[in-house]
Amino acid sequence: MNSNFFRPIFCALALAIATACTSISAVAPGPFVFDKAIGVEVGKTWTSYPRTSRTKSQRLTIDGLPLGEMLFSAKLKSGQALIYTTDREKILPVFRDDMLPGELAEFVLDSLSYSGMQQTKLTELRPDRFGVDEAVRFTFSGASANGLKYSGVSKVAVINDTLYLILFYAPSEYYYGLHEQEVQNILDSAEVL
Amino acid sequence: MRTLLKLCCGVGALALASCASTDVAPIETGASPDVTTDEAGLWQQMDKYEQALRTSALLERDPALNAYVRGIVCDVAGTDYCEDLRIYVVNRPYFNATMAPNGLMEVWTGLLLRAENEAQLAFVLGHEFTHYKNRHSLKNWRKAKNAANASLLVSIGAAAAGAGGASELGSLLALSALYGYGRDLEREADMEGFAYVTAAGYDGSQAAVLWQNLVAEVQASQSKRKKRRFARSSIFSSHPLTKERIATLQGLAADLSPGKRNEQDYIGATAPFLAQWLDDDLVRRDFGENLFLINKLIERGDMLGTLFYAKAEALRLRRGEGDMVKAEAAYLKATKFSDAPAKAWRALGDALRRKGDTSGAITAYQIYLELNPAAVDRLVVENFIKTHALEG
Repeated sequence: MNSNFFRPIFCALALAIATACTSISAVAPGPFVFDKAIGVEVGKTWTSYPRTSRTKSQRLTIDGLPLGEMLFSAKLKSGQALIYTTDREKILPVFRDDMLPGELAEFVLDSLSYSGMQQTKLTELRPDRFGVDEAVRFTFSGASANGLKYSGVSKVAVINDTLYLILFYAPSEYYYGLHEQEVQNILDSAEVL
Repeated sequence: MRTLLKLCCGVGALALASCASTDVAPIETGASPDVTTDEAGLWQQMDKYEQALRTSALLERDPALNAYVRGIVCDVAGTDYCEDLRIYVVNRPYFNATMAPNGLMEVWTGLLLRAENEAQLAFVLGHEFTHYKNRHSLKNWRKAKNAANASLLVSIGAAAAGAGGASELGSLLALSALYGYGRDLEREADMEGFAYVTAAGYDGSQAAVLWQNLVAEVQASQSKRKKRRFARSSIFSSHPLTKERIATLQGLAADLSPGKRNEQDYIGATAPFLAQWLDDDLVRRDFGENLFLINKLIERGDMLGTLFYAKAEALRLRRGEGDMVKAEAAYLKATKFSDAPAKAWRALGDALRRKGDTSGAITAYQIYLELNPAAVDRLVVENFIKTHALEG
């Protein structure tokens, strides 16, 4: 069989693979919609990483992920985890649709601990709204394994038995304070679509 | 063909000549390796690791706990060697301790949570000290290098003989020999560690008890994969099978008279950390193991407020059939003991709220806020009280 026969097939396959790849992109100030589920207003230019289907989440950053990460997750169902591991012996923290406010914060912080954050500690939990829906907002502290201290804030709601979440954390020194107002504005503007 | 044979012989001779001896004498006190040696390279790597560990958020820095663990290490290793060892208590909820060739010893809090007395902890520390004293890291490193050389030799030989596929077999054999050697070093560490511990006057029978407890805990695990891995050995296992280790240690202890266990000293030294270590253990989400461990600690009969709270937390997080009812009962029980954390009342309030007992929940929440006026979740709790008190 002539090799010319395969050439168009290879080209088509390569094209299909290339178009299936989603790349890192810029999020300009203005409306940002995650997964047709959460809408927010961003005031700065963020960098967006591709959505992870396994954990139904997407990460945004300004200075690079280790220096500040905003995570969106929507429609997480009961029994699903916010994180992923290839270690099949590990049992991950999972979301439950009957979780009370304190348990929602616990679920998020345990997921962060599982991912390697150390000394995670809830510093404030208060009632909030996610658009018209009831939600909780909480702040927390933690540290990386090498001792760098982190601060974070999150807004979480359970709507139609699924979890909606926005989470931001960054090194306490300089970076958290640098973007705190922007993040608070984003959380204030959040609504379920 | 003759040229090829010559080439193979040449490579073989080179590989054999580069074989390093694994027959090394125990390290002497105060000794450090010559900078030109492979051992110095290993030390240097671990010096770098240790430098990072000193600033790590994982480190437990409590001076009393560190001094206590160090005291047991010195008891077992002797005062001369003790000066060469640096002990770090690391906040990791897994049963483990590690020893580096440069004298860096890590003791994980998961081990401290699981040991029942000083004698059990002393055995693990004695085992780790043997790795240091007998320079097991160096032996393992040299064995690995020799195995890699042998594997290369087999690959070249196989390729020259036109049997390239056999080279994979050579690699596998070299690898299995390496793991087998590692298991032999672990056996040596068990035997000599046991000797150090009993020489220091500790009860040798506790070494096997520690392993028996671990076997029972893993059998209670929710992970079938973990249970399988723990029960079966393979040529690639890094440690001997636990049942083999138990039999060996029981044999060693059989003819010895009982020594000290220092159970109360151990409980006293670890008590301030029990609540935190149980919290950390729950993050693992292996509720079978979590509950096994908590129930075992409850049998001890003290710190019951802390322990029943931890039990209730494990049941609540597991959410199996009937778990929420059992959790509520355990929260209630926890609140009867003076060492119960204030958050046991908040959790009891949550349990009552979940089943629709609003007035009971409000009462529990009010006690929680009285006990913990600076509660980080005060606004959420007060919001519930305000909303539902108005409804009432």
